[in-house]
Amino acid sequence: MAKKLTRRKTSRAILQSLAGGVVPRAGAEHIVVGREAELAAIKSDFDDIGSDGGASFRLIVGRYGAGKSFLLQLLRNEAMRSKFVVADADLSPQRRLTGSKGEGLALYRELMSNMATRTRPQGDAFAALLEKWISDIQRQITKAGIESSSSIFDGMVAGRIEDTVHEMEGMVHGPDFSTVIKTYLRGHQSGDDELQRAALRWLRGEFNTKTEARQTLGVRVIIEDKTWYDYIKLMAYFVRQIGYRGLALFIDEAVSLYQISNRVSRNNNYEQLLAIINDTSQGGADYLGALLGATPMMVEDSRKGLFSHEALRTRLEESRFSRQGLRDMSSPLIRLDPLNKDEIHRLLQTIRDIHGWHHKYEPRLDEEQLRVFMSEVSSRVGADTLLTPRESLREFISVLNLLHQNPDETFESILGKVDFVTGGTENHPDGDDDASPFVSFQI
Amino acid sequence: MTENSFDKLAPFIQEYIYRNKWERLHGFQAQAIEAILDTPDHVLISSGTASGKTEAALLPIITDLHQNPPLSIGAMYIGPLKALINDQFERIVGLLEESDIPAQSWHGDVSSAKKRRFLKRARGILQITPESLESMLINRQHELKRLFFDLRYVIIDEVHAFIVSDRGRQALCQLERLSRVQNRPSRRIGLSATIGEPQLTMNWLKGHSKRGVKLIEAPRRSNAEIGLEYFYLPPNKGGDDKAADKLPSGQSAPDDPAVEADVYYRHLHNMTQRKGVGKTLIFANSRKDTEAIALNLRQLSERRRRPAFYHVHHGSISAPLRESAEAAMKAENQKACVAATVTLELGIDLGQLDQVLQINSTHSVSSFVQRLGRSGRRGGPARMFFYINQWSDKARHLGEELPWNLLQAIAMIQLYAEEKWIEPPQIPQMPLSLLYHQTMSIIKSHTELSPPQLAERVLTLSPFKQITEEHFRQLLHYLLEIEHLERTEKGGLIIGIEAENIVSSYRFYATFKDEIEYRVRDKSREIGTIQAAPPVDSTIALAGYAWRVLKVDEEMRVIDVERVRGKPDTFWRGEGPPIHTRVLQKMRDILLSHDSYPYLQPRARKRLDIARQSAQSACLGDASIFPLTDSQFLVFPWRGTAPFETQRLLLEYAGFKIPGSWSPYFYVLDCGTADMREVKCRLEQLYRQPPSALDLANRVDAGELRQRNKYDVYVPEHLLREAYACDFIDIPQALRHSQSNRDLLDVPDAVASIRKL
Repeated sequence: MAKKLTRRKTSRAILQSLAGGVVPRAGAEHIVVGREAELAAIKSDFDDIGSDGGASFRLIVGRYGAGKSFLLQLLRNEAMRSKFVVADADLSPQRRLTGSKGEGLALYRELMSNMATRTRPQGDAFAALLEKWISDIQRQITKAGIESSSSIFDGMVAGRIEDTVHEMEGMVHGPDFSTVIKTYLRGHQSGDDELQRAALRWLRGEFNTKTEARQTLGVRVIIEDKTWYDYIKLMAYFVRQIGYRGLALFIDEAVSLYQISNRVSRNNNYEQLLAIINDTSQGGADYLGALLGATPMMVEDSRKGLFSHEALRTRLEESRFSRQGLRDMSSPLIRLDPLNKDEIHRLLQTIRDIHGWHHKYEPRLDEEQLRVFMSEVSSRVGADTLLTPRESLREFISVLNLLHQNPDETFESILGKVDFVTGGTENHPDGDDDASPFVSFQI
Repeated sequence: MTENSFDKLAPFIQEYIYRNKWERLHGFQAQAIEAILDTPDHVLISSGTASGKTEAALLPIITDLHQNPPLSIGAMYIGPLKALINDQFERIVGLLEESDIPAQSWHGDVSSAKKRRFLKRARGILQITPESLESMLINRQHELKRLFFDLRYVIIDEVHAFIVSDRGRQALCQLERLSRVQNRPSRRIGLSATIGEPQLTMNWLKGHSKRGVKLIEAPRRSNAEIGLEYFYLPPNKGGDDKAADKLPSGQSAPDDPAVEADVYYRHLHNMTQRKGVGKTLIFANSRKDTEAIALNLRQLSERRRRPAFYHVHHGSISAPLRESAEAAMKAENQKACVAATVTLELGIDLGQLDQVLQINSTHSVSSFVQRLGRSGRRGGPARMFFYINQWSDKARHLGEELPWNLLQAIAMIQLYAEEKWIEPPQIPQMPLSLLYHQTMSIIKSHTELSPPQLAERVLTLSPFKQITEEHFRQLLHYLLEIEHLERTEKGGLIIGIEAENIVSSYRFYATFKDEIEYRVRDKSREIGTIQAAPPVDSTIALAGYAWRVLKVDEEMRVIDVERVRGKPDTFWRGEGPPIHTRVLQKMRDILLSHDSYPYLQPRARKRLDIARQSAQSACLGDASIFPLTDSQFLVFPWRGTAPFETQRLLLEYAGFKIPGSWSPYFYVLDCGTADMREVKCRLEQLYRQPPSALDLANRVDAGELRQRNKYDVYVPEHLLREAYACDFIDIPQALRHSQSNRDLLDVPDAVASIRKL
C-alpha cells in the first residue's frame, strides 16, 4: 500500500511529473497500487545480493502503458534506500548495449552520469562517492589516533585504499581500474585537481584515445564500446568494497534494441544481453543487479525479438504453467499486466488525496465522480485506442487543478471543457509536432 | 567592375591569385562574386566546362566563410561523380590551406579517419554525392543539427543533369530535410554546363524557398565538331538490336556482313587513334556491344601495330578493371578509350573527354547536349560522332523501311543547332519510387516515427506536393502488408523485417537503378541480352528472329524464349526514356524536306536520300495512314512516346487490335471484320467520350508497370496505375488533329477506299 506523505516537496514533484506525463523521479512509492508480488520478488533479489553477494537479472515485460517505467523508478528508489548505488538509462538509437559508433560506450557514460545514492538521489554521485570514501578512511585513521598532519597519514590512507582495490586486480581490466582509482587518490592528496578530474573522466568513459590516457594517467587502455560492461562489473565490486551493498542498473526502453533494423547489429546487442544474463546467473558477476524494461513484442517476436535468438529464448522462456495465471516469480522474466479498473480507481483516489493534501483542501470528488471520469476518458478516446494510466492521470490532474482554481465550477461542467489527447503521441526528441497539419494523420 | 569584384574578395585570396599568376577574373566570375557577396539570392552559373565555374562560386564563398566564420559546416558541394568531387577543388587546395577552412571530400573512397576528423570539427566545406549525403542523413540523424545548423551555401554541380532525374529530386528532398535543422535555409548555387532553357533550372533551384534566383551566363562556346555515319550491320556484330531499322524493300544487303563490320570497326578505330585526340568515350546501348567494340578495336590495334588503350565500363565489370579504366581516362598525356553503356552515364568517373562516339541516336536532345558537353577539353572544340547502325532484313512496309534511328539522330542535332531547343524537364506528379525511398530513409534515420510525424516529414518535401494523404496512407498500408514496415505497440512505424536487408545495404542510398541485363535463352542456347524484362507471352525481336517469352526469372535475370514463325511483329519497348513529340515532328520535317546537313558522312547522306524518295513516293506528306491489307493499316502518329502509347491503348480500348508496333514511330492497326461504318462509329465514340486516363492505365501490363523506377516493385499496383495515368497517359495529345490530316478520324476513309478496290 502507498506510503503516507510527509513532505510537500515530494507531493509537488509527484503532481508536476504526472501532469507532465512522466514518471515521478521521487515519491513513486506514495502512489503505487498493485504490483505487490513483483516488488517482493525484486526486493528479495536485492536482499540476496546484499547478504550473500551474487547477482541478479530481471526483464520487466509489459505493454506500452503497463507501468514498466514506473516500476523501474519505484525499484530504483527502493534500491537506493537499501544502500545500493543505482544507475539508470534509457536505451535509444544512440545508446545501445553495443554498436559500431560508440553506442555501448554512450550507454556507459549515461549510466555513470546518472549514478545515484541515497544522499545524492538526483545522479552524478560518482565523484561524491569517491570523496566520501576517502574522507571516511581518513576519519577512521584519525580515530585510530593518527593526526592528518602526521608524516605517515597519507601512507596509511593509501595503504587502506590499496587493500580495497587490491582484490579487484584479478578481474578483467581490474589492474587499470585500480591504477586509476589510486591516481585519483594521489591527486586528492597532492591537491592536484587536474589529475583528479582526469581520473574521474577516465572512469566515466570520457577519454577518447589511448595515447591521451597513457600520457595523463599512465594506463594503456580506455573504456570502450567492447569493454564497458567489464567496467560495470568492476564498478559493482568496487562500490561493495567501499560500503554499499552493490550496484543496481535500471535500463529502460530495451525495445529500441528490437527496433534496430540492421540484423547484424541487432544480434550483436542480443549477444551482449546474453552475456549479461549469463554473468548474473552463473556467477560471472558479483554485487550487481540488472533490470531491463521491455515489451512483449520485443520478447516474443520469433523473427527478430529476443526469442529469435536461441540462447536467449532458452534462458528467458517461462514454463507453460506460468503463462496460465500462475506466476513464477523466480523467472528472470516478469510480466506486468496493465492495471485493472479497480486498481486505476484506487490510483485516482490516491492522486485525489495527494492533490488535496498538497493544496490543503478537503477532496471534492466522490467515488461516483471518479467512476464518471474513468468512463468519460475511455469513451472519448475511442474504445480501440490504448488508454494508459500516464494519459488518464495527466487529464485527471488538469481536472483537479481546474476544479481547485475555479471553486464556482462543478466537476461536470469542467469535464465538458477538457480535451483528451489520445495515446501514442509521446514527444519525439526532434521537436514538437503540435503545429503540424498532419496531427490527425492515422493509418 | 572586375576590379571592384576582385576587391571584395578576402585579402589573402587576392594575394593568392596574384602569387599564382592567375589570369584576371572572367566577366562571369566577377558577376558571380557580386551576386554571392552582395545579394541574398540563389545563383545559377552557366558556362562551359573547365571555364572556372567552381572558382567563380568558391572564391566569394570562401571570402564569406573567412570573414564571418560559421558555427557549423558552412558550405556543401554536391556533385554527381566522385571524380568531380576530387578534381573540382584541386586548383584551390593551396588557397584552402592558407584560409584554414577545411574542405573534405566525402564518398566511399575516403578513409573514415579523415571523415571522423572533419566531423569532429564540423567546419568548412563538405564535398559529397547525393548517395553519401543520404547515408549521412540516415546514420547521423542526431548529429545533423551540430553539423549543419549554420550551413550557408549549397553548391550543386551539373545541376542540369540533376533536375530531370529522381536523383535530383532526391537531392532536393535532402536539402529540405537538412533545412529542418538549420537556423535559416541555405543559399543554393547551381553550376550548369548546359544551356537550354535556364528558367526551368532556376525554378528548380528555387524549390520551396523564398529567395530569388540570379542567373549568370558565361558567353557560350559555340564550336562543336559533329559527324554522323551509317552502317549496315547484322545484329551481334556491334549493331544495336532494338534500335536497328531495316533495309528498304528491293534493296539488297551489302554482300558480306563481315566486310561491313570491318568497315565499321576500322572507322571507330581511326577515330580513336586520331592525332590530337586523347580521351575517347564510346556510348553503346548494351554490355555486349561495349565488349564487342573493345575486343574488335584491340584486335585491330594489334593488326595495325597501334597502341591498344581500350577499356570496357559497365555494371558487371569488376571494380579493379573499372578503376583501371577510370585511371587511364584521368592520366595526363596518354591516349585512352572506354566503351561504356548508357545506363551508367551518371556513374562513370571519367573526367573530361576529347570526344564522344555515340552508337545510335540518343533518346533526348538534352542527353545529346550533355554528352556533347562532356567532350572538348581545355577549350578545345566539343566533338561527337554518331554511328547509326542498321541490320539487313527485308522490310515489308514503309514503317519497317524508314531509317528511324538516323532521322532521330539528325532531329536531335537540328533541334539543338537551329533553336537551342531541349526537352522541358518532365516533373512527375507522383514520383512513387522516390516516395518509397524517402519514407524508408526517414524512418530508418529516426528508428521510429508515429504516422503523423512521418507524414509531416515526408509529405512536406516539395517533390511530393501532389501526393495526397490518402495516397500515402495506401502506400503505408501496403508496406505494412509486405512487412517492409512494422507497427510498434505504441502505434509508431519502424522498418519491417522484409526491408532490413534493403535499407541496410549501401545500394539503398542510390535512387537510380543498378544496370541490369537479362540473358535471353532458347533452351540452353543463349541468344543475346536485353535490358528490361518483357511480359510473358509477348513476342520480342532478337538476333533477327522473333521469339515468344516463356518465362522470366528475375532472380537469375534469365528470360526463356521459344522461336516463333514469321517476322518479329511487336517490338516490345519497356525501356529507355520517353521521346518527346517535338523530336518526332522534327523527324517528319527532316524526312519531307530537301535540306542537307554538313555533318552527314557519304553513306548517311545516301541513306537519307533513299528514305526521302520512299517517303515522297508514298505521299507521306499528305497522309499518315496506309492500307496494308483490307483490314490492316500502317499508322504513323508522329507523336512522342506518351501520346503514341496512349493512342495505342485508346484503339485497343475501342476494340481494335494492334498486332505490331515500334514505339513511337509506327504501329499496325487491325480493324478485323468491322465495316467502315462500325470503324467510324467506334472512333467517333472515342472522340466524343474518351475513357479516363485511369481506364487506359489499367490496361498496362503489371510487370511493365513495376520496373519503370528502382523502387516501383514495393509500391501497390493501383498507385502505380494512378501514377501512370497522370504522368504518362496523354489523351488530349493522342486525339489531337495534326496539320496534315485528321489522324485517327482518317481511318474510316482509308477503310472505305481500300475496300472499294
